[in-house]
Amino acid sequence: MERRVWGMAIATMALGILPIAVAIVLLLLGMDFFLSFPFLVYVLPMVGGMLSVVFAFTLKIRVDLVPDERLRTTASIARAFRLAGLTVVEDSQSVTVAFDKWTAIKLAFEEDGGARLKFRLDATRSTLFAILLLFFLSWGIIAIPFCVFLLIRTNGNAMAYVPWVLKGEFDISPRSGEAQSTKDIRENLIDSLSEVRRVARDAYWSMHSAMEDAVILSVIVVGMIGGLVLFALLLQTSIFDPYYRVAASLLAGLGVALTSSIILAFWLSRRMKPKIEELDSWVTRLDLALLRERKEVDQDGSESSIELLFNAFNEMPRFLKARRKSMLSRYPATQILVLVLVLWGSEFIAGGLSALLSSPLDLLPLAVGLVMVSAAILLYRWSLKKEHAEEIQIAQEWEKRREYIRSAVEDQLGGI
Amino acid sequence: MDRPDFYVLARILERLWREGRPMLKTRLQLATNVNYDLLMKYLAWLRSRGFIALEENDGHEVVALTPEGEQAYLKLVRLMNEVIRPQD
Repeated sequence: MERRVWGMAIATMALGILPIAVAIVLLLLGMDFFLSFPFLVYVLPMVGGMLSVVFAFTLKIRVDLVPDERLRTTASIARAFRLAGLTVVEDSQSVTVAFDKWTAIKLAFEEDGGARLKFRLDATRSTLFAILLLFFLSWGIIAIPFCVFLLIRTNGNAMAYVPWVLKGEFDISPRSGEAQSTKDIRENLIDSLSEVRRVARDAYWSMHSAMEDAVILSVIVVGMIGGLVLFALLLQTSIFDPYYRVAASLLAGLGVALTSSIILAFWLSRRMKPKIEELDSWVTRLDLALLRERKEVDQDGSESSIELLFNAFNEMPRFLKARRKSMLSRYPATQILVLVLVLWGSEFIAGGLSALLSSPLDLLPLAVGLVMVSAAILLYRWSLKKEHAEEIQIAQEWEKRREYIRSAVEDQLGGI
Repeated sequence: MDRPDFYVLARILERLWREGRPMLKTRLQLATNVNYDLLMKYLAWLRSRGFIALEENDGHEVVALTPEGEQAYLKLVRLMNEVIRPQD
């Protein structure tokens, strides 16, 4: 499996570079059209990037035979991956497994035997967002190394999970001499712990990516816009010697952009880190409990699984809220639009300010820029409002579940 | 005992189920990390509902989980699974 993926990574890279190689050959044959600026700068990298994306996401990788006969159905494969604590979406033909923010695979049995699996890369929301953004910003060529990165990372994650899952390592196999009620308890505990652990882990990754997104956005918004505006303003003033004006304005703009970005990024990560660490500790506790239930590694004083589940149950609204918080991937279309409006708007504002200083009546670019940035702010506020309404709904639903469990426990244990 | 803490009850039931055989009270206290006097109150409460039984073993009193106790613990675990399960 591993060798095949490396071959695919090399082929992805080669395919991406192929249009450029073809252009060089045509150029050598005297077809000067391929030297034209838009073709070299936009078309070739885009075509190369697209070829890499299509190749990386359509080619299938064969997995060894599934050794455990009980795992030779789509439903049992889905359950086994769920028990391994991964996010799984299944349909009648395939199972999609997400490993982390960037990597996911779609698994299906081969038509002929039914005992051999194949998989291909699947796009997570973050991956899709990144690829769309790269093409939108005309950086299609970056999609080539990005696809190679995805292939290698997905392969690493697949190697870490697939063989163990297919061997039934995460399955709850019956133990010799185990009573049915004991097996039922163990199965239910493992199911619940896996589910809570999966949500907690998703929450951890969401929070982590929310921090990264916040840092990236603040660097773009505060750093880039601040730097651009300062650069445009300084260029028009007479503070600097005319001879050095461009260089001095550029340095001042860049300096402010870098300093403010670093300070903001540091402040944001410091603010969010405790929450991320807390989620991480929940995942660790749930991992330990799962290990204990699966392997019966147990010692006096170790945390009670049922108590941990009840505590985690109370934390579930918070986990679910954090899971939904991954801003850039929560509403991808809206977020792409916000980003594009901010980027274009800031360019218009910077250009408009500089035009305004030379010709006070030239208000149009500045007005367009302000409208675009205002639209981005309104859109962003709207998505926040929508998110807030969803959070309230989740909290209400969990409060109902809490009420239900409270009354059910009283029934079960006889009037607590 | 007016209103026992559900968490402590669940912890005791789980510990006894996991052990799979009767446990000395002092070991149970150590394993569940509950104050001894409080543990006695909880054991009395569990016993009054038939979830545990106190037995003699080599001159020591040991605590055993009854089939009713195991069923009660199974119901709790199932209940938890029922409310936690589908999150997607």
